Formats: sequence, structure tokens, C-alpha cells
Amino acid sequence: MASKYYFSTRDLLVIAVLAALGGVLSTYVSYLANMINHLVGVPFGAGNVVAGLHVLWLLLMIAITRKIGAGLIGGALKGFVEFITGNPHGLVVVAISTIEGLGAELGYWPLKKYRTAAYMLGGGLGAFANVLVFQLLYNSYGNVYLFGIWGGLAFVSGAVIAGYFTGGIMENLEDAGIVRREKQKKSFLSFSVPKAFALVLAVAILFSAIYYFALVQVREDPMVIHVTGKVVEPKDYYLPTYKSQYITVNTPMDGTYKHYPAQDYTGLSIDFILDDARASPDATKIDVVAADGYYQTFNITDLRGKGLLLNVSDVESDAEYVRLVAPGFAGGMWVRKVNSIKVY
Amino acid sequence: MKPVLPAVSIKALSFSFFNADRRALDGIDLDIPEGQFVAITGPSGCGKSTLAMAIGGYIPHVVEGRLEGSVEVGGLRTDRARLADLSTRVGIVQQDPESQLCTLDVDDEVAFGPENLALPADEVRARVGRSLALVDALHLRGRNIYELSGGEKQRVAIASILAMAPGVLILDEPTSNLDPTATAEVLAAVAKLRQATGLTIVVIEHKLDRVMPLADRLLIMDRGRIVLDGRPAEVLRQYRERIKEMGIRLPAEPGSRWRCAPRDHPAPAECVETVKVQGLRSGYDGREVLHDVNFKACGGEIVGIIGPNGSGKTTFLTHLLGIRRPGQGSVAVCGMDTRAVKVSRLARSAGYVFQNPNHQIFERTVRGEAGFACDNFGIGRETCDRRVDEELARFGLLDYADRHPLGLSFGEKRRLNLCSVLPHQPQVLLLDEPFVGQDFFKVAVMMDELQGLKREGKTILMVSHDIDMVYRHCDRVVLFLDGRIAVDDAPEAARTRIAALGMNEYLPGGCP
Amino acid sequence: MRIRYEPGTTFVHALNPMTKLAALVLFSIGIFLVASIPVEAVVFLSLVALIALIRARAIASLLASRFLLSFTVLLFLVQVVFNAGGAVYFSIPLILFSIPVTAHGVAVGVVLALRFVCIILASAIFVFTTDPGELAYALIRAGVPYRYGFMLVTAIRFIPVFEAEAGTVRCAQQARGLDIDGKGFRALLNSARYTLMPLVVSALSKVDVLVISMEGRAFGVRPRRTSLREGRFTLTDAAVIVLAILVFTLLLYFAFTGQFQLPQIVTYDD
Repeated sequence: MASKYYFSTRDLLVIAVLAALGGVLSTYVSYLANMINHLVGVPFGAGNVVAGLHVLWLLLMIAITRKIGAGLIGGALKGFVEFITGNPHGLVVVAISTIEGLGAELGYWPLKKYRTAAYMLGGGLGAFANVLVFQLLYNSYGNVYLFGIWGGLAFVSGAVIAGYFTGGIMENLEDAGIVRREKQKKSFLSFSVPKAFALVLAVAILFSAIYYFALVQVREDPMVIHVTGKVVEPKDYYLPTYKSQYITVNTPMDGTYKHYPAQDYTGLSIDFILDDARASPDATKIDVVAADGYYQTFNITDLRGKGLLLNVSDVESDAEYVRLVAPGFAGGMWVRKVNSIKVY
Repeated sequence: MKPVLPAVSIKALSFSFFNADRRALDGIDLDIPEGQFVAITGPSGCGKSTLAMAIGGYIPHVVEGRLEGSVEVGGLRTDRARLADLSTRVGIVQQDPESQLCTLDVDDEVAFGPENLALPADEVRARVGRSLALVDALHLRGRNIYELSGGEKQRVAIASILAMAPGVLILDEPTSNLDPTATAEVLAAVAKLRQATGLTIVVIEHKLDRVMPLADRLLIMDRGRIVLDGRPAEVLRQYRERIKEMGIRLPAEPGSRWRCAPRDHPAPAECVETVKVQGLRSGYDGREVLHDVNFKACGGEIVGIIGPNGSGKTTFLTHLLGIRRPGQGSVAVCGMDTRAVKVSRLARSAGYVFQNPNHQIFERTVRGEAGFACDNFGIGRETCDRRVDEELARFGLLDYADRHPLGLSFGEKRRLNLCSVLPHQPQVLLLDEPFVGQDFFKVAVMMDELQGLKREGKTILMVSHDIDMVYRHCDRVVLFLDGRIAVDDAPEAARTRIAALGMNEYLPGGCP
Repeated sequence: MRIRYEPGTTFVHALNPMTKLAALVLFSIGIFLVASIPVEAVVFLSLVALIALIRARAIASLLASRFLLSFTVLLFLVQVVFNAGGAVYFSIPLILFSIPVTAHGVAVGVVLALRFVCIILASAIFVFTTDPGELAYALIRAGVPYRYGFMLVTAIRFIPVFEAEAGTVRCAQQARGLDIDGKGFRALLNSARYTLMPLVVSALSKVDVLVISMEGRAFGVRPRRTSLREGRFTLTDAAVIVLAILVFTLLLYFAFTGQFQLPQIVTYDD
């Protein structure tokens, strides 16, 4: 008989008991991670490798209830259960688990006809979500490349672990008549190692491609500098269009551990930018801010006429990004990957 | 006199589950007048619990399957009415005391139903008090559900249904998971209910002797049909033999002498000691559970261990497998000190069957499951396969060898659990409640096989709430009380001593 | 090492669970708006003082736990390595290149590590002083639909049950000769397989009983239900909530308007 609610009481209870069980077993999952660490001989890291075992519960909820949203609320509930039973990450675990649920849903539903693939993609995205939250909150992986590698690793292990276990458990439950068997496309379903390997590989490639284009490539145009604060015309400077205004200075660079002899640097001068944007007369300082948040503060009086400029090519590599050339200032003040200038 | 209306009226009811071809209920016609106390019994798988689900309206509202015929409760047709409207007319107390309680403390649990009905708070409070009083559980108010004993949980479950103020109360094997002490406690509560209220009560029970004195009417079911129906004493008198044939355990005949059985399987004259426990003290969570336990058992002996829950029986058994290690004293199994040997080594010599089948089924086929331990111990594949098939045949499971073990009935799972510890031929068998869910025939078959194992020289220790079976088939009866062995004697002598302790629930049926 | 609720009589225990939850959420978001070593150090010390005040010995031991220490150190090191900038204190020479330990790197590292520790401590105080059941009912009172709220109640109800069952399953594995302390990936895989399956089956079998027990008692019939549990909301609750909201709003306001510069990581190289 159809329930008057989207989630029937049975659905909710399936979610609730699996969340409780998943919460209880998360200690056991950390134990497994520890064991793997011991096996490999590194002190940490396997947490992401076994993240698939956290996502497993959410995939089971989705697969058993067959309701969109079960993984998401299940994730939130499981996170809450872990939080109040003293997961050491505290409130953060609620966020992690909820996002894992979102990942599991995003992976499962598009492929639900091919269930093993659905479990794998769901497991992969869920485990990746785990890495993502840590990166967003604590910048745990430092830079975008390490994050990419770690995220990819979590994705692959999540796909394998959650795919293997969810598939195995669901098949078991159906064989035993505990869960009603769903009509399915058999062709893709059976779990074989080469097939799984091919699938993981395909998904991993797809994923890396998406990741590369979405997160690494299509970032903000590095040639654009935002000028904000006490200026009459806050605006964006796309450096190549100002080529006619470029000046050249000849200066050495004295860093604490790097020294370069005097050489020519060409670029758009800070003086020009301040004039062009019409910095307010009572502005005293500017912050030259890099894309990663690093910045340096200059007194405007100190820098006027010193030939500070934004240079496009890098001395060390061919990478194209904007760096500040600051004649007479210490190397640490030569901000790299400049992305904005704040006037105040 | 006003005419007695039927509280429950069932017409041509048939039902089959979605995953089964067989009809679980097959053409049931039944009227239960208001205020009647009906006991329903039958061999396992006869459909008695399914009937309870149908009366409660859970078939077809919650349980999926194919339904024919009709059920009316309190004037409502269950398949047409909403479950919500049925819930104030009929309530069901289920077998498992743990799983049917969904909140955190006793007050919440009993208030749960009335709160869902959105009754005024004062009314809810009044109902909570009244319902708890009816089952003598007022003293449990404010207690945490998880800390309650099985009997207390079951009484809270009854109270929580009473709070819905239903006209019909169904109790589905309310005592089968309980120890004799708790069973007595729950049945006393039911007896009081019968007296104090005009409720129509339907009890599904296999312990006939305990329910019989309360019932106005006895229904016996077999293969989805009601085969016998009448006043309990008359039904039993008229159809005694037929009931026996169905595999239902009869209450002892009035005046019959209790028989001490293992006469035909005498204990060995010489004792080859297999289990030796000396001065065992042990506990966990900072609490001592076993206080100075001394015990020994010989090859070719069946020892029955009885006692209330929490008296240390299971803890004692886990010591014999080395899962728990002695705090003080020593435990030796087949000459191995449990402190010195790994559990996996001890398990080779001591086969342990746990209580809940779900916790110990690991493999995907019945055959694989039975051979799991044998394989783990590295006994050759061929030997394992041969022994597995032998054991499955012995316990009537060979036909299911390629089926999924979790698809078996509860009783079959329990027999499979026993089969799973036999192929590696351990010297000692430790069985925790092996007979739960088995009908009379199956128990007899199992007991025969256990006697066979005994003749081979194995030591069998079994914890059981089935007091009659223990007295009838064990060479020794051991009573645990508060973490001590209070009685350890041959059945006749143990009976006298336990009677002297006043522990009447632990005496065989038919005894005063 | 896990923090669990311990009943007590401190003023933190006495607060309404929703007050604490709201404060904790605002705190955890708010701390990301502040990037200043002195401010975070003060916050950290206040939390430690609060822990001492409520005599939460368990949390004190969490502070010294391997998890917290190793994670914090790791977090710190990653920031030092990847956020070079400003004055270089010294360089750690590696074979091909060297890692400069810079003022900026250290500052970022300390800020993030402190943030991490502060969230953990605040969460631990919450868990230590809040009855999970009370919290679930408080959430329902605060407007979470009760059918969903009861999922939390039911989950909490079965946590101790599943803990006990997990223990039994481990014992049952040993009894059947499975080497649960086995090393190697295969052993771990088996361990996981034979642990998960029985527990999932057991959990789902509870659902069958629970559905009947709950729907049989009119669960979900009405859009609202009565609740005998009453929340207590005291003046202290009001004060805590007002304070939390005030501080949080100010932080947000400053962060987005820049009227008042929030403390930021500042590294001068002179």
C-alpha cells in the first residue's frame, strides 16, 4: 500500500538503523585504516583509502529504499550519529558525511540501471567528497595538485571498495529474500575483476579530465588584476590590453635565499594603475594580493616613483602569471601570482 | 444480556508472501467474540504469526504479498481501513523484546502511541500511568530502555500497546526470547490484564502449559489452516494423539509422573576430563560477573545450564572458548589453558553456537556456511566436503545445501548453526539456546543427534531456557544464580535442590 | 578516547541542547572568518578553561591523544610546505630541493591547526554535556519534522544494541576459526566482509519489527504530535544565544563590508 509520504516509515527506519550501524562501525573502519597503514608502513593516509566503507552505508540506503534523497538525509543522519557518539572530528563529520551522501547520490542515480557501475561511481564520488571537505575547511592537502592526486586516489579506492561491498551485500540480501530483487540489466552487472578494472580506469580518466578542466584550467584568467578599495574606478586590468603603457626597469632581486643579478623587467607600472584607477588622495596603503591569499602591504608614499611594476613572464619558469617587481624591496615583497590590488 | 459481538471476524482468508509460492494462510474462517482469551499454537511455520499480522492489519498494509478473503476488526475491514484507524482497535506485541521498542526511555515508549495520535498531554500522561500500572511496571518509569531486562522490555511493550486503548490485544510469542523467570513475570502480567480489563486477547504461544490455564479457547494451526478449535481442556483430551503427531509439545498430563530420561543413554563410567574450571572470577566493565566458579565436565556427557538472564551463563560459556579470559582462577579445555592459547586454536576443540543465528551466518550457501570453520582450520577440502554433507543430511538440511542460508526459517538456521561447528569435529560443544524456534519433532531429532555425539565421547554443554528438555536429556543440570553455580547435580537430585531453593520456574513441567 | 555524553550538573549541561547546537554551529563557522594567531589562541585557551571548569577529564585526554596531535602536526606541516612566503626562518634541505620554512607558512599553519583544534574541542564539549536523546527531542521541538527527528531517536536507541552485536559477531568469527587479527590485505578484506554482512542483516531484521511496532502505534498519522518532553529555556540560554548570534553577525558584517578589518595573517618582510 502506497505511503502518503515520500519516505515511508520503512524507508526512514532502513536509513535510521543503517546510519546507527554505520556510526557504530566507523570506529572499526578507522581500525581497518590503521591496519592498512601498518601494512604499507606509513603513519597515515589510509583514511581516504577506506573512505569507501563510510559511503557503503549511504549506498545501501539508496539501493534498498530506491528513493532519491535517501543518501543525502542518510548521510546527514549518519554524520550526526557519529558526531554525538564522539567522532574526534566533531561537528565537521556532519558536513563530511552529508557531502558524502550527496556524492553517493550523484554517482548512483545516473547509472542506476547498471548497478555495479552505479555503486562504484557513487562510492568514488562519495569518497572524493571526504577529501574535498577537508581541503575546503583546512586546506589539508596544501595545493591543488596534491589535492588532485589525493582526491583521485580516494575516488578510485572508494569506487573499488564501495562497489565491491555494496554489490556483494545487496546481492546477498536479494539471494536471501531479505530485499526484493529488482529487475536489472544483467549485462553490465556481474562483478568481474577485468570489468571492474576497466570501469575504474574509465571513470578515473573521465574524472581526472573533469577535474583538470573544471578546477585547474578554468580558473580565473591569470592576466586580470582587480583593483579595489579607495579608488574612484574599481576595475579589472587585463594586462595585455595595456601593452602600450608598459615600462621597463633594471633591478637586482635580493631575497633571503635567492639572489638574482640586475636584469630588465617589463610590465605595467603600479604608478600607472593607481593614477588610472584614480586612487583617492587620502589612501595611504595598498595590498598586493596573490591568488592564494598571500599579500604584502606597501605604503603608497614608499612606492611612488620606484618603478614597481606587474611583470608577466616569470624569471624561473615559462609559466605565465603576474608577479610584482619591486625594485629596492626585499625578495619576499615580490608577490607572485598577483590577482588583485587593494587600496586603502 | 447484550449479544456478544465478534471483535475479530475472518472470512476465507488466504495469504502468500511475495518471495514464497506456498500459502502461509490457507482459507481461515474465524470469529473471536469480544472479551475472549484465545491461545493459538501449532508447529513452526504453521502460519500462526502470519495470522497475527493479518488480524493486526499489517497484512496487507506493511507486509507484502497476495491476500484473499477478509478480516474485520472492531467493525473495520483491515484491507480498506487505514492502519492508523486500526491502531486504536488492535495492537500487537511482538516476539523480539529488543527490536520493537523505538525510543530511549520507558515513559517515551509508552507515550509514543498516544503522542502520535496527538492526544492532549494530560490524557497522554494518564494513559502512560494507567498502562504501566496494568503490567505492574510503574517502578520502571524514567528508566533507560537499553538497561531493562528482557522481561521488563516485554512488559513495557505491552504497556505501550495498551496506551493505544485497543479492543484487541495480540501477543505473538511474547515469551519465546525470555528466560523462565521473565516468562513467568510476563504471563503474570497477561493474566492480570485478563482479569482487570475486558480486552479480547489473542496469545500465540508454544509453551502450552503456561498459557492453558488462562485461555478460554485453544486454536491449533497446521500448514496455514486452523485444524482444531475448542475449549483447551477438551481439545487436548480429545485430540491428544493428533496434536502430538503435529509436533506440538503437550503440557504434562495431569497426575503424570515426571520422568528422568537419560536412562537410555547412560553417562560413561570413567571420566575423561575435557573441561576444568577452577576458582574462576571474571567480569567486565568494572563489574565482577562470575564469582569463584568451579566446574568440570567429562567426555560423553551432556550438561544443561539453566538460570535467569544475567546470572553469568553466557559469560561462563564464552570463557570456555577463551573469548573472555579469567580474571582469577583457571579455565582449561581439553587440557589447554585458555590464557595460553589463541581463541582460534581453542575453537578447533570447542565448537560454540551463539544465540542469534544472524550473528553467525557468514557464507552465501548453506553448504559453504557449514564448511566455513572446517575450511578456516585448513582441514582438507575433500574431508570437509564429505563431513559437511554428512552433517547437513543428519539435520535435514541437505535439500537446502545450495540455498542461501539467510533464506531459511529461524529453526532451520539454528540447525545450520549447529551443523557449522561439527565438520571440524571439536571435542567439546558449547550451545547457547539451541532449541529456540524448533518444534517438538525437530527438537527430538536434534536431541537424538546430540546423544549420538555424546556416545562418540564428546562433551556437550548447553545453555537453555527450555527447562523440560534440560531435565529430560541432560546428564547433569547446572543452575547459575548471580554469577555462582548454585546447583550442579544429576537431574533428579538437582530437581530436589532447586525446588528447595524455591525456584519453581526452573523445575520441569508438571512438577509442583 | 571517544568522547561520550556524561551526565552532570554544570551550567553547560543545564543549557538547552538547541542553544548549545546553535552556538556550536555559529562558532564552527565563525572561526573560519578569523585568521589571527592571537585571537585563535585566546579562543583556544577559553575553551581549555571551559573544559577545566566543567571537569571534563575525557576531553583533556582527547587533547593529548595521538589522533589530535598527529593530525594537527600534519596539517601544520602541509601549510608550511605549501604556503611559502615572507621571511625565511630556515630551510630544510632535501636531496633535489629544499623546503623553506617561512613566516607566512608558519602563520598559516598555526592558524589552520588552531582552527582545527578549536572546532574539535568545542564539539567535544557539546557531546560531553548533551544527552543525545534530549537533543533529538529538542530538534523536533525546534521544527524538524517529527518523522525525521525520530530517525535520530531510533538511531540513538540502537547504537548500544549494535555495539553489543558487533562484539558478538567478532566472537562468532573467532569461534569459527576466522583469524581476526590476521595481517595482510586478504585478512582485512575477509574481516570486513564477515563483519559487515551479519550486522547489516541483523539491522534490517530490526526494521521489520520496528515498522510494525511504530506504524501499529499510529506513527506518522498526524502532521504534528504531542510531546510530553518539555524543553527548558532559561535566561542563560537566551544570553548564550544572543551572544553567539551577536558575535557571529558582527564577524559576518565585518568580513563582507570590510568596515572593520578582521585580523588577518600579515607577514611583513622587513
